[in-house]
Amino acid sequence: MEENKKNSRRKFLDKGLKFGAITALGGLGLSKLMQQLNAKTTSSNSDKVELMTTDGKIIQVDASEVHDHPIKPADYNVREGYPNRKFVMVVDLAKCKNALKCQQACNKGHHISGENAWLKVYKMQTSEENAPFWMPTQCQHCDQPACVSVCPVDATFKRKDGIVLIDNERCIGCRFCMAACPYSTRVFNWSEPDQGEITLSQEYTPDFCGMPSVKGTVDKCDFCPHQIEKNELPFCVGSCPNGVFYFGDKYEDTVTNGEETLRFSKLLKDKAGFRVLESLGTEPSVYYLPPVDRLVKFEDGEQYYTEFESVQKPE
Amino acid sequence: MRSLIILKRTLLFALGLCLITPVLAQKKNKVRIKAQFINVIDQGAFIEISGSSRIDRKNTAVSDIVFNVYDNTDSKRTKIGSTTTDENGEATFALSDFNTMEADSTGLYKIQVVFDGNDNFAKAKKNIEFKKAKLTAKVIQKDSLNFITAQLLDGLSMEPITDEIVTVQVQRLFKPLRIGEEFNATDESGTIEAMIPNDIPGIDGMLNLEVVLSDNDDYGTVKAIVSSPVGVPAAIEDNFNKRAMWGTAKRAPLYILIFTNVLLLGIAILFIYLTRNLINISKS
Amino acid sequence: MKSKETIIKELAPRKFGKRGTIWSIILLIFIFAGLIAYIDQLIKGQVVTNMRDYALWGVYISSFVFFVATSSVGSVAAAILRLTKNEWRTPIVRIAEIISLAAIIMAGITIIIDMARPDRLLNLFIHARLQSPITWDVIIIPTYMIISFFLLYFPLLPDLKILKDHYKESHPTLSKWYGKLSLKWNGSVAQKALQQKSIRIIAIAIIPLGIILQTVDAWLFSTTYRIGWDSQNLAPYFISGAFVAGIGALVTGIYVVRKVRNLEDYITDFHFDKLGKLLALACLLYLYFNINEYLLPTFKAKKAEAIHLETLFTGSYALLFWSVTILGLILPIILLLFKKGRSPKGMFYIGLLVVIGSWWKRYVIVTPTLLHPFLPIQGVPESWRHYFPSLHEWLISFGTLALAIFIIMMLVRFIPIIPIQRTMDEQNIEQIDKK
Repeated sequence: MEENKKNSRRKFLDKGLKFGAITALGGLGLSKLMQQLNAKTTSSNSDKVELMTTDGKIIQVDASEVHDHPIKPADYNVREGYPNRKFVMVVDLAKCKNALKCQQACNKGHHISGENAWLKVYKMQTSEENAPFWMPTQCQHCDQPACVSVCPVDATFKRKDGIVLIDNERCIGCRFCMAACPYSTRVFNWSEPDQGEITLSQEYTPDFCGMPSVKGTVDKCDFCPHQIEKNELPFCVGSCPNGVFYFGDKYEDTVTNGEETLRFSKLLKDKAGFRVLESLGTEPSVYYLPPVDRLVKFEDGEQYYTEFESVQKPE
Repeated sequence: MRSLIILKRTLLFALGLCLITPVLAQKKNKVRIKAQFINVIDQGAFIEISGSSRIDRKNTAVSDIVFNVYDNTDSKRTKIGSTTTDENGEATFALSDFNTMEADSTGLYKIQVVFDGNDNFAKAKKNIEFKKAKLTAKVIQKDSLNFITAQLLDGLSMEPITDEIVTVQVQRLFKPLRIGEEFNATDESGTIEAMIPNDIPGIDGMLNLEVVLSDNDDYGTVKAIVSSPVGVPAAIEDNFNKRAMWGTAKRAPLYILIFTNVLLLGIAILFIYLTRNLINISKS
Repeated sequence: MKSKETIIKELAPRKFGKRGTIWSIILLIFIFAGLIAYIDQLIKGQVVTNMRDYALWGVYISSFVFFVATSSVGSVAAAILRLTKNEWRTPIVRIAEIISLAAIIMAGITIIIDMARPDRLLNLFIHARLQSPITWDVIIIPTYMIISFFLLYFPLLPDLKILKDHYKESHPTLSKWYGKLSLKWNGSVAQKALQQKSIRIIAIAIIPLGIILQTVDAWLFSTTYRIGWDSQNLAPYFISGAFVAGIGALVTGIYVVRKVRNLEDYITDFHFDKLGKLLALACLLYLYFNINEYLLPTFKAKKAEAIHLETLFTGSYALLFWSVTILGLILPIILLLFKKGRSPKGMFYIGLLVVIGSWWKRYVIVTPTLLHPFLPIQGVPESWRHYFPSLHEWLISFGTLALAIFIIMMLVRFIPIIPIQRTMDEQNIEQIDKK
C-alpha cells in the first residue's frame, strides 16, 4: 500500500517534472517566436507611435517617420514665407554621377506614389558633338514663374523667400501650369494617390507637398520648407553622396552641401554658373555649374539610368 | 535507487531552469552611447548625447529612450536630470548649473550618462570628463580692416592653451561660413586672429561671428559668439509686393485690372440695356 | 407668291418624324454613354483617360477649341452678313444662331469635363486671378453665351407670337408657352423700334466679343513657351479657323434642315452658292494663316521648331496633319471654285469635310506640341511618350458632340428654323415693289 502510494507519488512528480520541462521548452520556443514576431512589428530602429489623423482616426506609425513641429516666426504666413530669405540652389554637374540618392530621398520623404518623380536626373547631351552629362532637375522656383502667371485660382504662388508652392486644396486641376512650365517639373495626380496613412498624420500645409497628395491636383518640388524650418537641408541636398547640391540663402550669399559651405557669388563666378533655359526669361533660382574638369566618368552613371522609371515601387 | 531518482529529478529541474531563464532574460540589443560636452560661452553648456545600436548589421539610431545624467565629479553619483532621444536618436541635455558645478582639484568635471535599459535594449552607460575653458572673442579694426581675435585660456589656472586649432566662422542658415585661415592655431598667449572679409552680407550689416574649439580631448567643444555690424547690409528685394503677371490676384498689373474691369462694365451695361428692352417690349 | 398661311404652315416647327425620332434616340444613347464614362472619370480620376504628365491636355481641350471655333458662326452669319448688307442671309440666320448657341454651351461643358476638380469650380470666381488666360476665358465664354442667346431671342419674338396664334386650337398649352415667351408681342411700332435697335446693337457688339472669344482661346496656347504654341500668329490663325469651322457647320446644318423640312423654296441654290463663296473665302484666309504658321518657320529651321514641324510633316502626326490640311482645307477650296461644288449636295459634303477636318485639326494643334517639351522625356513609362484618346475620352467626346447636335435638334423642334416674320416682311416688300 505504502509502496503503491510512493510509486504513484513518484510517478506524479516524475510526470510533473517532465511536463514542466516540456512546458518550459515549449514556452521557450513560444516566447522566442513571440520575440521574433515582436521584433518585426516594432521595427528594428524605433517603436510605433500612436497618432490621430485629421479626421479623428488613430493610426500606428513608425516613430522615425514622425517629424517634430519646430518653432516658426509667430507671424509666419505660408503664402509669404520666411522673411529676409531668398533660397537658391547650386547643382554641380561636374560631380554628378547619377547615383540617384537624391531622387530616392525625395521620393521617400514626400511619399511620392505616382510614376513621375519630382526630381529627375536627366541624361543630357545638347548636341551630337557635345559631351553627355547627368543633370538633376527639379522645380526651378523661378522669379518670373510662368506657372504662377497662368494659374486661374492662385493655387500656385510665389513667396517672398523665392519658393513657389502649390495649395492642393485650391487647385482645380486644369493643368495650365504644367503646360506653361518649360522645365516639365510638375506632376499630376491622375488618380487617388496610393500613399501611406502617414501623410494624413498632420494638418495639410502647402509647405509640405505630398502630405498628402490630392487626387486631381498638381505636385512638384517644394524646396523643402518643412526641412528648412528644422534648420535641415532639403532631402536631395542632404542625401547626395557626391556633394552635388548646394543650398542656401542668396541674401546671406552662402550655400552649403552639408560638407562644404561656400560663398554663393564666388562659386558662380569661379565655376561659371549658368541657368537652364535662361533665354526664356523665367529667372530660375537653381544655378548649374558646368560639367568641366569632371571628377567622375559619365559612363559610371549609366548603370543606374532607368529611362522609363523614376519612382521605385515597393516590392 | 532513490538517489538516482533524485539526481534525475534535479537534472530535469536544472534543465528546466536553464531553459526558462534565458526565456525570461531575453537577448537584448546593445546601445552605443556617444556623449559630447559643448560649452557656448555666455549662453550655456550642454551634453549632446546620441544612442545607436547595431541591429541587423546596420547602425540605427535609437529613439525615444531615456538617458539619466549624473554628476560624478566627486565620486558622488548625483543625478542632475534626464533627457529623451528624438527620432534621430539624439538628445541635448542642458547643464543649467554648469557655472555652479564643482570640479575636482585638477579642474576636471566628470559626467555619467546612463541608460537604464528597456524591453528591447540592454542598459548602458558612458562616462565623459572635461575641463572648463575660457574663450573670449572680440572684433577689432586694423588699417580699416576688420579682424576677430580670440583668446583661449584654461578655466581654472587661466593659463593660455597654446597650439590648438580653432575655427572662425560666420553664422549662416544650415551651416556656418568659415573665414580666416584653414588652420588657426593659438599662439603662446592662446590667441588667434582672423581677418573678416569686408563683403559678407548680413541683415542690416550685422554678423554673428563664432570662434570654435572643436572636440578637444580636455575641454570638449567650446564656442564663443560675438555679434558685430562688420557685414555688408544684405540687399533684400521686395518683389513680392510689386504688381506682376505672376503676382497674387490682388497684385495684378494695373493695365490688366483696368482693361478687364472696363470690359466687364461694358458687358454689364450692354446686358442690362438689352434686358430692359425686353421688359419694355413686354410692357408696351 | 406664297400666302401668309402657307409660309407659317411650312416654317412652323413640327414634331419629329420617324427619322427625327430615331436620330434623337441614337443621340441620347451617345449622350448617356458619355455621361456614364464621365461619372466613372469623376470616381476614378482622370487616370481613365490616356492623358499623363506630358500629354497633359488631349481630346477634351481640342474638342473645346472646336466648339469655341464653331460658335463663331453666329457672329458671321447674323452680324457680319447683316452689317455688310447681305440680305440673302434671312433664311440661314436662325440656324446659325442656334448652332452658335449650342456650340458655346458645349464649349462651357467640355472645359468643365477637362477640369480634374470640378467640385472646386467656384474657385474660378472666388479666387480669380485676372492675370490668367483661363480667367479671361471664364469671363468671355458666359458673356458670349448670353449675347448669343440675345441674338437668338430678339428676332424670335414676332415668330413666337405667330406660333402662339398658329397653335391656339391644336396645341393650347404649347400656344400658351409661346405666348409667354413672346413677351406680349403685338407688332406695334414701339415694340418694333425697341427690337430693331436691340438687334442692331447686338450685331455690332457680338463682333468684338466674338473676336475676343477666339483670341482668348488662342492665347491659352500662345501665352506658353511651348514650340508650336509660342506663335504670334496664333490668334488670327484661330479667328480664321473659326470662320471655316462655323460656316462649314452652318452649311451642313442648313442642308439637313432643308431636306428634312422640304424648304427648297426658302433655301435655294442661290443661298448655297453664296455660302459656298463665303466658305471659299474663309478657307483661303485660313490657308494663308496656315502657310504663315507651318511653312514660314522652315525657312530658319530653329532646332526645336524643326523637330516640331518634322513631326507634323513626316513624323508620327504626318498622316493626320496632311489629311486635315488636304482633305479638310485644300480640297474644299478646289471644289468650291466650281459651280457644281457650290450646289446644295456638294456643299453638304464639303461642309462635312470641313467640320470633321476642323475637329481633327485642333487635335493636331494640341497634342504634338506637348509631346516634345524642352527637356527630354525620361523617367516615365514608355506609353507616356505617346497619346491617343482612351475609350472614356472617346465616349465623352462623342457624348459632347451628340449633345451639341441634340441641343440643335431640340431648338429646331420648337422654334422656327427660318424666321417667319422676316420672311413675310421681305416677301411683302417684294409684293409692294412688284406693284
